[in-house]
Amino acid sequence: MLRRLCFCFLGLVLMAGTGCQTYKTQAKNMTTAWDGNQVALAAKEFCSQAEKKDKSIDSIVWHLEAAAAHRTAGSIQESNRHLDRAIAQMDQYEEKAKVKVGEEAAAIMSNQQNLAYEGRSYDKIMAHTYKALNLMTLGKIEEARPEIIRTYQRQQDAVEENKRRIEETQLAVEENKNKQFFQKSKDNPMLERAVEVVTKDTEGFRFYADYVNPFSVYLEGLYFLYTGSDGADLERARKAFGRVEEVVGDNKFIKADIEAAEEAIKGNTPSPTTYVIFETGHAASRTQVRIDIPIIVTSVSYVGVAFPKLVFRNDHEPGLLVRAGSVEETTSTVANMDAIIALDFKNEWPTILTKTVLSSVAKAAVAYAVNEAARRQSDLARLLVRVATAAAQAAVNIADTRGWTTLPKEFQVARIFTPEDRKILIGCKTGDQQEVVVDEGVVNVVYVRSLNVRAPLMVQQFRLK
Amino acid sequence: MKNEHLRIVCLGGLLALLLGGCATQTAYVNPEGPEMIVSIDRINIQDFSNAADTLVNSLMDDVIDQDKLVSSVRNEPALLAISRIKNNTGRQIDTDLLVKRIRIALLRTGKIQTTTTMNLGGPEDPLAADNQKAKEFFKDQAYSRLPDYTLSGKIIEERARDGNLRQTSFVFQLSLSSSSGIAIWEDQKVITKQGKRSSVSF
Repeated sequence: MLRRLCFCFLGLVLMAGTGCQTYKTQAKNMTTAWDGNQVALAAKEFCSQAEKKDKSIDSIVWHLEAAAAHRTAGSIQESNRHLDRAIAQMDQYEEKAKVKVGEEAAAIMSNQQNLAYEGRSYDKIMAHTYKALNLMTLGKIEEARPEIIRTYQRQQDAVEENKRRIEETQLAVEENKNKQFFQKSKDNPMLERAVEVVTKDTEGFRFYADYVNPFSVYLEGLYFLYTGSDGADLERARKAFGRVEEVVGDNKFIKADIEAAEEAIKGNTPSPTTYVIFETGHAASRTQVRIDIPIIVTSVSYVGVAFPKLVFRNDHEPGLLVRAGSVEETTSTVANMDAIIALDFKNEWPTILTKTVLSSVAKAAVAYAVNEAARRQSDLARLLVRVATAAAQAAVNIADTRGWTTLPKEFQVARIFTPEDRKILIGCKTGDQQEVVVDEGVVNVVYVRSLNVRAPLMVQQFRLK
Repeated sequence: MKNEHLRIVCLGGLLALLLGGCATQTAYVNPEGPEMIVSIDRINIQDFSNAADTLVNSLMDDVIDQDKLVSSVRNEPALLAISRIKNNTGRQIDTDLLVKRIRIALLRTGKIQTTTTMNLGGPEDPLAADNQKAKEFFKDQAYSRLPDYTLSGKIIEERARDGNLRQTSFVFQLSLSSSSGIAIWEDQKVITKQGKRSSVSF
């Protein structure tokens, strides 16, 4: 009977713990290539992983990584293919029931990484933003329109999703049979110290309200200003720039865009303008903070919790210089992705804390039952069972570190009058300047990506008008 | 032995039942009928049909049947070209799902023709367009006829939510303009859908 019980418990935990590596560990090769500015290699590796994991619970995050990497490498069609796959799966998850009891039960006995990654609010907003940019780069301006509109819809949905998440967490606590142990565990000083380590990094940001991504809204403004055909489109553009200004604050380029929208509403045509959009650095990613307390001598042989924690990087280029003739501008921040990710993490934190503690309590309760059942066995058998339950619990004690790591740290913009020879110079303070010949058109966008201070600038462009 | 045979027959029967149950159930469905799938967050094929039928009936009643169309070429029906149909929804859609049905209905009246070589975004029939250009080149005369009317429009998506209940309205707007830029007909059709997301599943 005891042997059966042990095998059942170990079997269950081992099955649930299959692939119990954090996402960070699984993505190591790809992120190493990405950090080393080997963009094409990173894109290839992410793509291969996305194909392999296409039917898995992590499919969305791998496709998003592949999409951003391919976009940076200039393989726009490939980027769109991965975005389409990620978006289709996000939509499928949204259509299903809110709470899937079987999946939640399995995750309680192992870890949160065994729940399907359905895409965070900022993932969904950025997926459509990148899809719109890809379509514009391919010259499919009209097809970009529904993607821009979907981005706006996703921002509206994000507020509701956050509300739903809070309700689910409250329900999970109320319906849990180990409720009393849950509260005791939450009040444990060791746990409180671990929580402080995790949450202190989410303070100090200027958060954007209501899940707004100011860059997505800015892009909406640009799109409707220069490709719109009627008063409704131009008004939408003016409103979008107005929202960005409210959220971001004083920015001379946004002011100039608001004026441009007002001129367009009056019927005036725009003068030749080049926008420079600059994606710089790496967005915050997740690592784990883990507490392991093996207690071999009692009937609960192990207590452990593992939390995700945000890691921020500061090796990005702070700005891009843009020169056209005698005029020089520096790009100005429109969206800080670290702030967006930190706000999302802060809002998700009560759910993460609750589910992690509930999970630890549940696993400890089962381990206790197994160890108690072993009481009547020999000392050696009892010790082996305790070591086995402790090892099994430790094996599944990992945090959910999944997240879209190939996003940039910041989106910045500048606008400049297109010179007659259509040549502009762009460069970072720490590097050389390079010349870009702007394509034919009245309004053009030069899109620049820099991964870090050592990285070469990757440049694409498209025409808006 | 008999028991052994019986066991094999039963197992075989069970296997056949299971395999039969695993086969995909596929059937033809009437595209105008009530069995069609209704999606809250996208325009279904029956929505396009519904909107197109309503709008074309309105166009027939207000313009076609009133003989308000004027052709620039004597003894020939008026010529219609399709202009921009803006997609203001959050999904990629093919606006031809709306427009084609309208064109088919209008063509059947015999009072209006549509051009396949002169549309926004390029000719619908590139071979016909090339033919036209070739004729013009070799015979040194214009064969292309400017449209007498253009059809333009917009499809808008409006969403609302109340707790678990979601509502989406799709507004189909169309305008028929003369060659001097005057709208001689306009109408819109609203299709609204509501639905709830289920709370719990296993």
